[in-house]
Amino acid sequence: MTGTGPRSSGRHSRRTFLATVGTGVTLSTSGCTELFTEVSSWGDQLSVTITTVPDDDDRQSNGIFKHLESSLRAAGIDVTPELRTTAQFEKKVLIDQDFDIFVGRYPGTPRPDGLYELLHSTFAYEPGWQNPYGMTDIDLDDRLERLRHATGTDRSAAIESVFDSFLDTKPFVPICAPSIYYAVNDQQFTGWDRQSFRTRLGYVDLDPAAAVDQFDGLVTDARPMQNLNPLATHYRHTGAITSLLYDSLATRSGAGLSPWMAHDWEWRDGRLTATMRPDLTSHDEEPVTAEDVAFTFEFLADLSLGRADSPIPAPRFRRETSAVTSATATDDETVEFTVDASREVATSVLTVPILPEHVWRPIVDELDEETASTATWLREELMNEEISRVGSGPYRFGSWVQGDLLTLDRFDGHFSVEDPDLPGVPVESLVLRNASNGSVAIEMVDAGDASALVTPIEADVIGETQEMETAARIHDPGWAYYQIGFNTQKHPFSNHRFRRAVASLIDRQWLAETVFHGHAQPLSVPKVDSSAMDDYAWTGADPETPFVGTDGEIDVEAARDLFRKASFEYNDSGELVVDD
Amino acid sequence: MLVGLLSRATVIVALLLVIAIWQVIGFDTLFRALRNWRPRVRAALPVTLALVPVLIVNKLARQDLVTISQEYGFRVGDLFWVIEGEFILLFESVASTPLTQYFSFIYIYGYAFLLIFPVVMYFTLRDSTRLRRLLGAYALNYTIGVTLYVLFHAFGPRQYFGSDVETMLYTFEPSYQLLTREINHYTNVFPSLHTSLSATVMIFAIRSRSQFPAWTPTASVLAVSVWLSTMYLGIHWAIDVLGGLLLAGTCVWLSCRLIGRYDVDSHLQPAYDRLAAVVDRVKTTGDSADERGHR
Repeated sequence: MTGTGPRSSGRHSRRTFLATVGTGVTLSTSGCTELFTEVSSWGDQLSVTITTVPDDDDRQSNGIFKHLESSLRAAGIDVTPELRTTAQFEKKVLIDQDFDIFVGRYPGTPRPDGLYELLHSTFAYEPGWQNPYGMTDIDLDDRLERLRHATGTDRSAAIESVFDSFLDTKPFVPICAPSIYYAVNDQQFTGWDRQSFRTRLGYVDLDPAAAVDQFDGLVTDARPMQNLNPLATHYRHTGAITSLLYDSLATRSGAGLSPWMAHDWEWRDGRLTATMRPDLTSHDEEPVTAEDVAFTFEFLADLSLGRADSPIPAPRFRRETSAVTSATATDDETVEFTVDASREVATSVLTVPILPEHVWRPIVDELDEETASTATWLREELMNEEISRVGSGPYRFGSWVQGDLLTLDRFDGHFSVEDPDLPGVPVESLVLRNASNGSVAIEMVDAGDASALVTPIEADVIGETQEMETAARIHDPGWAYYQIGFNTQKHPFSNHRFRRAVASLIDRQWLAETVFHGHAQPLSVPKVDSSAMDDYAWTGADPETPFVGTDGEIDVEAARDLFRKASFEYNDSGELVVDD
Repeated sequence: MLVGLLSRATVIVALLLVIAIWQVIGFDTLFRALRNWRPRVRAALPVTLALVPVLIVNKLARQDLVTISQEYGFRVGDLFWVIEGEFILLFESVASTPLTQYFSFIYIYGYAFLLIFPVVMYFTLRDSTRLRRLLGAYALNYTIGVTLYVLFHAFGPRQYFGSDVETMLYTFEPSYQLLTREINHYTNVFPSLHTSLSATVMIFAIRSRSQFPAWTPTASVLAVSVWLSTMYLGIHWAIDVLGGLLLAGTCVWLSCRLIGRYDVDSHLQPAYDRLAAVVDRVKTTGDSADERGHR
């Protein structure tokens, strides 16, 4: 047990081992865990846990992890990895918020108000992709508030002001935005370039070849085959697959919104009024009306539906729902939202999936009092994979082999089947299979064994698409980016000086060139769709925290100086020490 | 794709079996044993039946077992990383394409052959004890192995070292992942069942060297190759391999203690008799029905 690999000294390794027992291993009794955590603090070298996913799940996260690990080590900080499957990783980071530093892929959003969701202190203790860093900065909050209400040119200025604060405080380090490519088979479908697999229309706005009556999709992220619950944030990336089961009032189309359940909407004086199509029905033949829309917003704002003392918001769609003050059905087909935000922000509430009241209300009503009023239990209960998958979307749940295969069947009662202005639902079934890895998926699409690989091709196999004979590679702008996130609620990550020093240990340019094989754009600020990005475009280094070193190798002394300047100390053996 | 892989595997393993039967056992001996299959099959049946429920449980409930392991299992992968560090990356320094080809072949085909062949081989022996003990040891390996997989939740070294393991099986031959995924989940690495089962075969090969002298060195080379392949290909930690060896020793010892001691077969006699009676009755009814039909 004492021999611990080539690079550790004896003293160091013992502590590493104890730290691991304290943080890495699940012990059944919490008392025992606490004891070991105490033990680990006898040591004075700073030891951090990096939480990330295994190489099989995401080779690029693994590459960033290894770079971060060796850089931190070189700077005298001890590192313990904590690997989790993607769903478990997101549960740990986003729901339990139990981590030091994480390396992961953020699904992203083109909307600049995504910054509000990502960084505002109001979400500091909420699960989901809203402020997982636990950031509470009053100055940043002010700037985010301004962003949410700004319109026109003020908006650009507001975004820039958020970026400036971001560059200074570094709640997380954005690494790079990967180039998104998919492999598609033109012999089975055409029209691939019209929409994106990130959105609902990407799967239905297609033209099947004669005699093709099934869409055979491949994925390398099997989470949709494990859980299809629209609330289960740790199983969703873009949520495109669940959006086939659950309709929304409007649907994303290209860069804008197109009518979907609502055929029209109007914005006036902080009020958004949506008019829905008549005679909408759910998969179980129940009518879906404006009442269901009002219910959805009530439910997402408080999953307990009033049973808990204070509201328990859903872990997804917070950006949209947090701006909604009220959602009222004025008649069967009209919903009126009062929204505390600008028009630009307000229309995004139209993309929230509508959860039929007759399905979800009974689930909450039937919970026992304790579950219904305890936030963690209630959320766990409602993010369950077994919850009814009855929505009103163009496809209904057919069957699955969990983790391997998912079959969705066309919902013939869907409005888009009849409407000549909509793409309709061109094929009878949509099948998704887990392809294990990108190489296999590319080969299968090329051989005609599948219609498309609908998850982005990993950077390390993008090159293999050049060998495709029948399949084509399509590009998608995409908004996802990789990041290194800090738990700012914990010492020393609560100190922005420490975070800035860590940011300087990361060679984003080098990562984009090697780990991403050049198929990525390094970032210094979060990627959003705004002209404000131009002034913050990557120019080879972060303007505030440039990399100290060359070609991915840190300059050890310069790195240590950064930590010294941030008031951290080193002991005689060159270890960065922290006071407890 | 999976079907293609499976048929290729079947052909290759069958070919290896034919060569080994010809060289180690001799076709005459095998045919003689096959002609007299009844007592042999009957002797091996109880222990084989013991293996069936384990295989079924693992096949049907694999996802559930993984979930249980995820919730309650000890997460030891991070600890293995701390303990053994970059040990398995040592193999990278001797890596070459022929070696990667060899170890990939061993990991998939060599391993399958190594497990199947001794069953055929010991089947030809008049005394069925050896065969029963081997099958018993397989069953024990598998049962204990699957239990440990639930108890310990860990990722293999390739999940940590990623692209540093340039000889990774699925980098070399990505489609193999379709095959291995059917058998195992990537959080099941401790102990290495590849190691334990191949070591089991090796121990038996050494014990039966007087009867099958040609098999002992072959099995030993193959078994050691399997152990090395699991590390060379980045699939297992050295700790998993050690765990596998320990498991193999335990299972062989247990199997030899348990099997050949109790006469399970005699307890099954009434069941066999009843079965024979049922078969007879079916036959007679079938015959008479046939006769009626003809008339």
